[in-house]
Amino acid sequence: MEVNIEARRILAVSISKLYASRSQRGGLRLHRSLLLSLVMKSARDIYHSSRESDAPSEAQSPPEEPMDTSSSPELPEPQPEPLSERNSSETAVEESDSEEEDYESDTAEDKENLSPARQSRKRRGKASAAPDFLPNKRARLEPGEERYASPVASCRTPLSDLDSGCFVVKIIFLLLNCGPSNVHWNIQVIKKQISEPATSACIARMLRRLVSFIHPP
Amino acid sequence: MNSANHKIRTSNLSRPGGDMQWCFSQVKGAIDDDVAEADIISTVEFNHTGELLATGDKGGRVVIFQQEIDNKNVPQFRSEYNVYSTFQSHEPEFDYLKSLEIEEKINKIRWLPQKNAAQFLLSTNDKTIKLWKISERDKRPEGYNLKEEDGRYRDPNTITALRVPVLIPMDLMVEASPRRVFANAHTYHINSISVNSDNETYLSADDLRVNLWNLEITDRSFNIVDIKPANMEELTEVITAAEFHPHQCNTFVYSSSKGTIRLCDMRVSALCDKHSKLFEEPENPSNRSFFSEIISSISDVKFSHNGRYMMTRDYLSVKIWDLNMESRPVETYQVHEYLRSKLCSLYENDCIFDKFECCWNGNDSVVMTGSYNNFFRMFDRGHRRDATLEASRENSKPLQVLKPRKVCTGGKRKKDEISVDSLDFNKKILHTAWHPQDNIIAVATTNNLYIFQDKVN
Repeated sequence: MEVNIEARRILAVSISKLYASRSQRGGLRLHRSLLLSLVMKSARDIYHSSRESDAPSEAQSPPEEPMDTSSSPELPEPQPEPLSERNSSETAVEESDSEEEDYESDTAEDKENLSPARQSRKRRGKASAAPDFLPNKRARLEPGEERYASPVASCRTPLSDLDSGCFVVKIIFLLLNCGPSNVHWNIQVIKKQISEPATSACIARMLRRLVSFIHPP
Repeated sequence: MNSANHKIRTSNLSRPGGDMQWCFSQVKGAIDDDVAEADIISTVEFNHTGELLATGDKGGRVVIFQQEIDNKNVPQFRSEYNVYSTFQSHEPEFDYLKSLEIEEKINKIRWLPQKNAAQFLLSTNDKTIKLWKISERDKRPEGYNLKEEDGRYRDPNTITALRVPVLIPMDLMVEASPRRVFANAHTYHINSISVNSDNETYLSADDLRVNLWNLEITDRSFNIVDIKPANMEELTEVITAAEFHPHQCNTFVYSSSKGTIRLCDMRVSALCDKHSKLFEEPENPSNRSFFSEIISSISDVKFSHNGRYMMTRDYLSVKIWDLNMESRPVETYQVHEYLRSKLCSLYENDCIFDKFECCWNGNDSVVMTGSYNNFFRMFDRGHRRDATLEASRENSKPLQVLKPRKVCTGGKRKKDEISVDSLDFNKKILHTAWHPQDNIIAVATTNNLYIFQDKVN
């Protein structure tokens, strides 16, 4: 259970780091974003595998657990079992990846109008109801950063920053396994939004929505 | 050299300091504790003779120190370095197309071997590489016909006689001028540059690509490695460092965030996406944690001077690889293994992303790298000894011998030991350099440069 809490905490810390790295001088650092996403993936896999192993004893939709605010620097080493479960959940992630790539081959008109049946191919676990693995408090911001700071100037973002931004957003979506029913988390819609106005302000807006989704006001 | 057996070194010392003792020589930089961000040192590099020592900082400046010539042959004072030249290499830029600020921080400096009276170095920020010429001027012409001494032009009608201008001595002036600007070749952030042994080409590497340049040609570069996936969402690793082999002009290596090193031969094909050798050590499953991927990311790769080995630095260790053996390193040295249980805190305070560099001594017998609390570590490969030393103002009396430091990992703390929880993680040594021919080292703390030399008996 401590592993579970630790995984949630690390996920929350990672997401706020990703959010804060948007406003770093010099732009999004690809290496750092990649490492953050790998940590989030590990934390998510461990969280889900420990949830699955606890599944029979849990209620249908567990209420949000209050976060353990006492910070413990010691990380309890995950048991060897999550390793094999991570492998299986990784293949599940890759399957959902390839499902999403199937979406990308659709024509542009279909992207916004995917039927709920197709959308339900996305992996839904207990996390689909509400992101209960995330703590019940506002994301911690770096000192001096405003929550709704807009980027320095809004111009078109060409391919590389687009790719970095897409990549970051995609990872967050995969990690949260959010169903698109109440919020438009459909990756195709988001990609379209990114590529057309092509502003980093757009990515900022989406991350703000993501944060507010995680921590409803 | 060493056998191919895998040796794992611990930090226990049989005799502190080993055979070599180090003395303080100089410290450069501001004394006050309030560090201006622009003064943070971001790279340190000796030139090929060791006579010049260059530093780059976050403010885009390069400062070059020169070894004091008069003292070169006096053993105790041979490591006296004085400021030789200071210039602004890179300025902050704004990329209007990408709506991105480009930092002026100097990521790397590499010296070119000296060919004539002038010195040349390459300096790079995230996007642009510049070739700088540093030349001395100690004479100036005097006696122009058409100009007065103060530069005003004379009326030609007033000239009645001609004279030949002569060169007269003047105070030494060191001038730095940008000779080439290599721009617009990198979409991602440049992490390495490396001059080829052919003295005509060099490589530059960013997160996903390695480019080959000719030193004379600025408007064209050749892409020799490209690991960008067709779909960026499939990205799993990035390039973290790259270097040319010191003698074989066709060979280079690049390291990745996954802890692998690829050796490529440019004779095989124009695009070196397919490696000739892949160096990778299987992960120890008992060390698996949330942060395994981060700590296995290689932050620096350096060939040995003799070209037979290469060294890699990841977050917790230094590994020496034999170029003929891809399956595992021949030596592994733990830099600060006591941090393995603190990875979660180090992740939260961002220290886990710190990129430490490493360096070889001139004869490849000792390697050095930095750590936290202004500690730096040396590993003597031949004598199987290691030492932990500290760069601090408290130990900066002239020729003061550095006392070896020890970190207490648990249980009772002995006198003079420091416990892990007392370490100052804001004081980190990321950049170190070793004189190519002598036992003189340059160690950069946040905004100070310390120069140490070995003790002369």
